Formats: sequence, structure tokens, C-alpha cells
Amino acid sequence: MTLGYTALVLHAHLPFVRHPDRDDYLEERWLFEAISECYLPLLEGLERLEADGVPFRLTLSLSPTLMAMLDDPLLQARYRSHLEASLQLAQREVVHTAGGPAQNVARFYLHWVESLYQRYTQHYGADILTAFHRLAQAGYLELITCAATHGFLPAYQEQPATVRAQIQVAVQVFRARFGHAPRGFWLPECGYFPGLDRYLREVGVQYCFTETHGLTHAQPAPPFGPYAHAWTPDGLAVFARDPESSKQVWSANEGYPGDPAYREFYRDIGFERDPEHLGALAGPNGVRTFSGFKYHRVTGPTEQKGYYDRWAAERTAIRHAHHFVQSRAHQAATLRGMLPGGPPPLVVAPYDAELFGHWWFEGPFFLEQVARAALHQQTVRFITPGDYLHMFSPGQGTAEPAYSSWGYQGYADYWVDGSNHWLYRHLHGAGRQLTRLANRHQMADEETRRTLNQAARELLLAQASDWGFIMKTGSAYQYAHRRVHAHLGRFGRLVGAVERGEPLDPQWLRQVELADNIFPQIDYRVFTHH
Amino acid sequence: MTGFWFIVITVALVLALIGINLGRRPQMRLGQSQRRTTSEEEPDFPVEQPEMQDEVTDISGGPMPSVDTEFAAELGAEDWSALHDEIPLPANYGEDLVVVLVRNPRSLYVYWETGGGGLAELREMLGAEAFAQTIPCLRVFDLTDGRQFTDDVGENDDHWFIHGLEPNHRYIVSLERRTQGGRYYLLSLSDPIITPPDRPTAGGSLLYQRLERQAGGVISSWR
Repeated sequence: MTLGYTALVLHAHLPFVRHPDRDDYLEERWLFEAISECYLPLLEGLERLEADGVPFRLTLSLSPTLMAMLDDPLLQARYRSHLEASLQLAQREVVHTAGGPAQNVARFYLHWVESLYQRYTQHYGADILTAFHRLAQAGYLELITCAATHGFLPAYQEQPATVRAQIQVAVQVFRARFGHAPRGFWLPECGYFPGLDRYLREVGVQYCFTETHGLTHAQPAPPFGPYAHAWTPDGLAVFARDPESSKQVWSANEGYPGDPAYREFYRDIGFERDPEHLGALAGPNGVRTFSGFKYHRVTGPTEQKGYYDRWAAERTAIRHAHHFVQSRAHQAATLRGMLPGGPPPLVVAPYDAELFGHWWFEGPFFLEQVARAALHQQTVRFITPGDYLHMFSPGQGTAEPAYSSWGYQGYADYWVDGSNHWLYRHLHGAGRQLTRLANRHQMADEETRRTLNQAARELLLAQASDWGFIMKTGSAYQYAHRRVHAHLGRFGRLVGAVERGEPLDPQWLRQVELADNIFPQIDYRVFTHH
Repeated sequence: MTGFWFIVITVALVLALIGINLGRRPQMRLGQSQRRTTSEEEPDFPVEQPEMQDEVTDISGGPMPSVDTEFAAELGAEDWSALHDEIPLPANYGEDLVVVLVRNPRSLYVYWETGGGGLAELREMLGAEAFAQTIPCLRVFDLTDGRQFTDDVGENDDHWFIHGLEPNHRYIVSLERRTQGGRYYLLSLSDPIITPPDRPTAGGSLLYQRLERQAGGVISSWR
């Protein structure tokens, strides 16, 4: 008997890191690593389930910036080159480790990279999004999206035009790519503020997610806390994150990814081998960087790491998958007993998709095994929030969710901090400028339209929550700083030309359009204030 | 003995949860934790610190339309000069305003601009000498309980972090100049903003409260 439900939700997102001017930007490797370690293995696992007739339901949020990069021919070509370089290194590594204890791992990597190359270039024809869409049509995925460039929406609470633009552009992109509007919407950083629901309802979004206290602190308090959706006053279903299932995966110390059998993230031959040996995977200008070839396992709290054993790691992932399913079943039974008269409990377990594969190398395999383990019991069923809405539409009534995020302490401390606060003066000022111009130029000539469309792209790119996050963590600070400055600087030149009625240097405009080519169908009037 | 172990385990759990940032997203993302996977080194300038701290339709796949990507790929590095222009950001946006952002239930961030002419008008109205005797300040009005307080700010300040506020209260913040005699001249007023609640809504989820009790308070201890 089914006593409750679990919704596994993966949020796949990377900031727009396309740099056509050079091919040695390490930031583009964020995308390449995610394709190799996360998206392709996830697809492979789901396709194995499909081939074996194992049913499963997973929710996958695809950010518009990630979608744009996955579909971009330049980045596709560069990823292919990256794979070729990986293949060459894998072959050199098999020779290099011959007769030594690392050879088995080297052979594993050669096989792994060969498989990635074959799948990406031949099986998918470099078209990963269509592969995900096919799995959605096959019933394995519910695809949703998030804000256009992952703007932290609570920071724009007083800027309705910006909130509207982030949401409407995202929905337009999703619809253009997949042929239908998304039912669900991932709020960047789970950032919610009271009143956000009306913007989502304007474009037909039916549900979103908040952190746990988005519902437990809601007004009035939903009787079942985070274990069923509540309806906002504007008719948006809100699901909240379950803390227990999050802890089992997120926690670095007691979560699954810290098991001694799993691959160790930080030990990488990119820091050990000669640059000549690493070939194209060596960092530019002698910079040492990750190659993706990691030969050790977590082992324990020691520097003396043992060699990675894929077979042992997979056995561990299977064990963890069974534990995860049993925990959800136990949770469902417990909650059901405590919810007399309520809807069957839904445990919402959302994660960054890149956790599965990049940080936790065996994560995609774990997900596949969760589906297989779920077959052996009836207590809990894995579904999507959309499925749950179909079955138990009333949920737990109406409530106004509380301001919340899934960042540190659960609010906005991370994104409004001494390291990044200066962003908002400019992002808000630029937003007001664009809204004034959009209101003034509702029927613009071709040149003005083109200029303001590019201004809208630049502003949206500057609004990514990633930049503030990076500034706060201190990693890649200068890159984030330079990106925001570049986009806001270009924005200023573009809107300045329109305000003064002066023409732009056509070469400059052309180059900027070619570089920041996201959202080709954007209409700047999305920034109009109604 | 059982009680002893319960306490030990509970304390250990609480410490572990606090220490490991339980359930929160790790402060790491793809690439971003890896300094060495970025193109540039850390900044050589100091980083400012916090003051106080439908139905599916058939689609054929294919890439989304992009702006002449093939053409872009053919361009050499020397053809991308536009990307290397360092365009300065404006010092202000020509407005008089105060903007307040929520940080957490007890803290707000405030920034302001005085580029819209209001300051010059006040100087003209008061006269240069009298104006020089005034000092800029922020007045924080708690609209929920009717209290207010004032923070003096520096002439060159343009932002402020306000701490020690009340959760779930409605605030409004004004930028003013005050005289030694206690007279205030308003320059700009923010929109009202509500600090978030910091605890489950009273009379709320009985289920959640029962789970809390069962877990010995662990669920909320990490917040």
C-alpha cells in the first residue's frame, strides 16, 4: 500500500560562461565538466531504466542559461574538442600507469571517456536537450525551468519589471525549445518573497518550491508543514523542501557522498602530471587545474588515499540507494500516521543537479539505483510535483509563504553581503533605466529595437545570482566582478546611445551581439512597467 | 543511563548539524570552489567586508536560433576588441532614493542616492552655512509597533547595514539631515519592507511540531 510520495527534483544550472574570443577560458570547463560528469551520466542512467522497463519519475529544472549553452554550436564544438583531449589523455594514462597500481583506474577512465564521446557525438548528435525532452515524453522526466539568468528574485522585490522579465523570458525560452510552457518553476536559490506568486501565475506556472520554512513560517500556518503543497492567494502551488532527505545527500560529513568508497574530488592528476603529458587539458599559461581524472577514493580523514575502485563504489551506491528508499518509506509511514485526514505526505527532495556527478561522482548511478530499489516496495512512490497536484489538488489549503531561500541561514545574507552589496545599486539603477526606455519606446525603429534588445540581454546577464554568490565565497571573485562590470558597462553604452539619439559603432554592437548571444528572441518591452 | 545517552546523542547531533551546515546547500558549486579552474587569480584589491556583519507538441530538436554563431567562431581574437573595452559604471543614476533590501529577519541593507537634486535644493533652502551644520542620518521607522531610531551616517556613506531589528515587522527608512537642535529634513523615503518571520507560525503545523519534539529539536536547531 502506498502511504506517501517522494519527489526528487534536480536543478541544473550554470551561469552563461560562453567566451567566443578565446578558447582557453577555464570557466567554460564548468560546462564541460557538468556535461561529462552530470548530464550525460544522468541521461545514460535514465535510458537504462527505460530499456529495462523500470518506471521512475524525476523532476529536472533546466535553467535558460544552461539551455542556451547546451544548444550553442560554438560550445558544442569546444566540448567535443575537450572530449577529444580527454580521450588522448586517457590513452596516454593507460601507458603511463602500466604495471602500476593505478592502471585499473586509468583503464576505467579510458572506457568512461570513450563512452562519453560515443554518446555525445553519435547517440545524441550533441543535442542533449532533445535527449532530455525525449525522456520527458517517455514519462521519466518532468521538465521545468527557472528564472532567465538565475536572478535572486527577492533582491528585486521593489522592481516588478525585473521580476517579470526574469520569469517571462525564461518561460518564453522553455516554450520555444520544448513546445509547451513549464508547469513548474525553480526559484533561483529557492528565493521567495510574498507577492512573487502573481508573476508566476501571469505566465501560467502552476507550482514552485521554497525552502522548508517557506511553508512552516507561512501565514496562516499550513497544518501539514512541508509535507504537502499550499496554495498562495494568487493560486500558485508551493512545495517546500524536506530537511531529512536533504541532509542524507547534502551533508559533507554524514551524507552519502562522504563514504570512503566514493571518488575523492580534490585529488586530480591535473596537479600531478607534466603539462606536456596533460596536453590540451593542462591549464593555460602554466596554471594548474583539474583534468577530471581522479584516481583516488575518499578513503577517510587521511592524506594517504587509496585507489578508486569503481566496482566497490557502485556496490556502495546501491546500498545507499536502498537506504534512501527505505528512509523515504519509513518517513512516509510515519508522516501518514501523523496526518489523519490530510493528503498523503509528499517528501520534496531538491538538489543541485551538478551535485550528482561532479561533486558526488557516483551520484547519477545512485539515482538510477534509487529507481531500481523503489521497485521492491510499495510504501513510497516516486512522482513529480505535477503528478501530486493532479492526484491531490487541494493540498493543505491557502497560505502566503514566507520570505525564504535555501542559502546560509535561510534568507538573503549570502546575496546581500558586504562583498556584493554594491551590485544592487547598479542592477536596480539599470533596471529603472531600461523600464523608462521600454515605456518610452513601445514602437521603436529597427536600430533602437536592436540596441534595446541587446541592453536587455546585458542587464539580465548581469543579474545572475551566481556573481553575488561567487563574490561572497571569494572563489573566482575577479571573474565575477569583471563579468558584472562588462555587462553593466555594455548596458550603459547601449542605453546611453538610445537616450542621446546617437548611433553606436556598428562593429562594436555586432561584436557584443555575437558574444552575448543569449535569448535571440528577446523583446526589451518585457521590461515595460504595467 | 538511557537519558544520559539521549542527551549525549542529541548534543552530538546538534553540534554536528551546526558544524556541517545541515541540509543547506554546500557553499560550493561546480567550478566555483575550485580557484584553479578559473581564468583569473584572486583580486589584488581588498574585498569589502560586511560592516557589522499544456500538452507536449512535436519538436524536432535542433539548437535554438542564435546570432550567427558560425560567424562568431570564425572571428579571430583581434576581432573581439569590443569585449575588452573597460566601460566605467555610473557613479549614480541621477535620482534621489532610498532602497531597502531584506537580509534576514533581523537585518536590512539600505543604499541611497542623492543625485536627483534634492540635496542641492535643501542646501539652497537652508543656506550654505546652516546646511553645513546638518548631518546625514537614516531614520528607521518600525511601522508595526510605532517605534523609530536614528543612525547617523557619514557624508561619503552611500549604504548601511541595519541590525537588531524585529522579525515580521514592517519598516520604512528615510534619508534625512538633522540639525544639532533635533530638526530633521527629509531627503528620500524608502518603500515599506517587511522582515521575514524567524520561527514557525504560531498555532501552525501540529505535525511539524510533533516531528520537532520527536527529533529533540534537531530540525530547527540548524537555523
